[in-house]
Amino acid sequence: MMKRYFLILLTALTAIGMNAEKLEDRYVSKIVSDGMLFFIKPFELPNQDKGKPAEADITYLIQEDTMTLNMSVYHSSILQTDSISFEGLKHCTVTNFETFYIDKKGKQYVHRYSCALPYTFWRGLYMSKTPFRMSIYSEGTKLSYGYSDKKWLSESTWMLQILQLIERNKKASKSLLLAK
Amino acid sequence: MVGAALVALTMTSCGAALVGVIYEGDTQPVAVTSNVLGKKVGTAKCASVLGIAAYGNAGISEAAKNGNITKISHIDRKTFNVLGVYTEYEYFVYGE
Repeated sequence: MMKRYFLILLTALTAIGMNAEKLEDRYVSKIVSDGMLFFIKPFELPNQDKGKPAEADITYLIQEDTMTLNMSVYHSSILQTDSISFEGLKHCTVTNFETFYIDKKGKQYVHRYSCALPYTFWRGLYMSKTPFRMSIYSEGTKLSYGYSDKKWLSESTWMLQILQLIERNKKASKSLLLAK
Repeated sequence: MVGAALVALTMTSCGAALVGVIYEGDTQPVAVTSNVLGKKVGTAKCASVLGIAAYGNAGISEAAKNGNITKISHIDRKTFNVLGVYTEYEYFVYGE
């Protein structure tokens, strides 16, 4: 009998812990020397060619109003990336991205890139009713990432909720500056 | 009585290191340096199942590498643990 109760408790706790992902589990906010910092924790952008998804995270500092998108891209060979493009309602091609490192992980190479995007552009990508596409262009290779139509609603909803929080904090910090 | 025992098992007073035997889902500081609070963040994660299988790479250097951080200002660790069956550690490294 005890064993049964233990198993039920174990299953319930595991299920609660694994599934009940709250919005606050998706980001961290901090006060730093330059203002308020938001960090959107790593999330996956599915690979359109059934390969490994890209893993991205975002750092946003209210005072700079720019999203810094760091991402890990996996490929079977070392990529000589020329540009990273984002296609949604608006289009943006980034050529001045940084490569943090290229490492071997198992059978694949992980490429860690970083690029800065205007806040309004990033928000615009998620405001659309259809999912955006991110493409990595390397000599003769194009890697495409993006959500399916089915997943888009849930993925865009949590991102927009965080962006809404950022908006509120932006307004609050502006009124603080005006008050000073 | 059982409820009080469970609460006692899962909680300690504020300010002390939190330890949850049944469930733990918290973020705690790991280290602070004299460097200015940085605006870069890097993370690394690892998990273990039943204490038998462990995977991931949650080294502080890995987190710093992911965020391209050379001067660390502070480190936080988020722990998620259910009955010791599934444990997940996520390190957040802040710096410049």
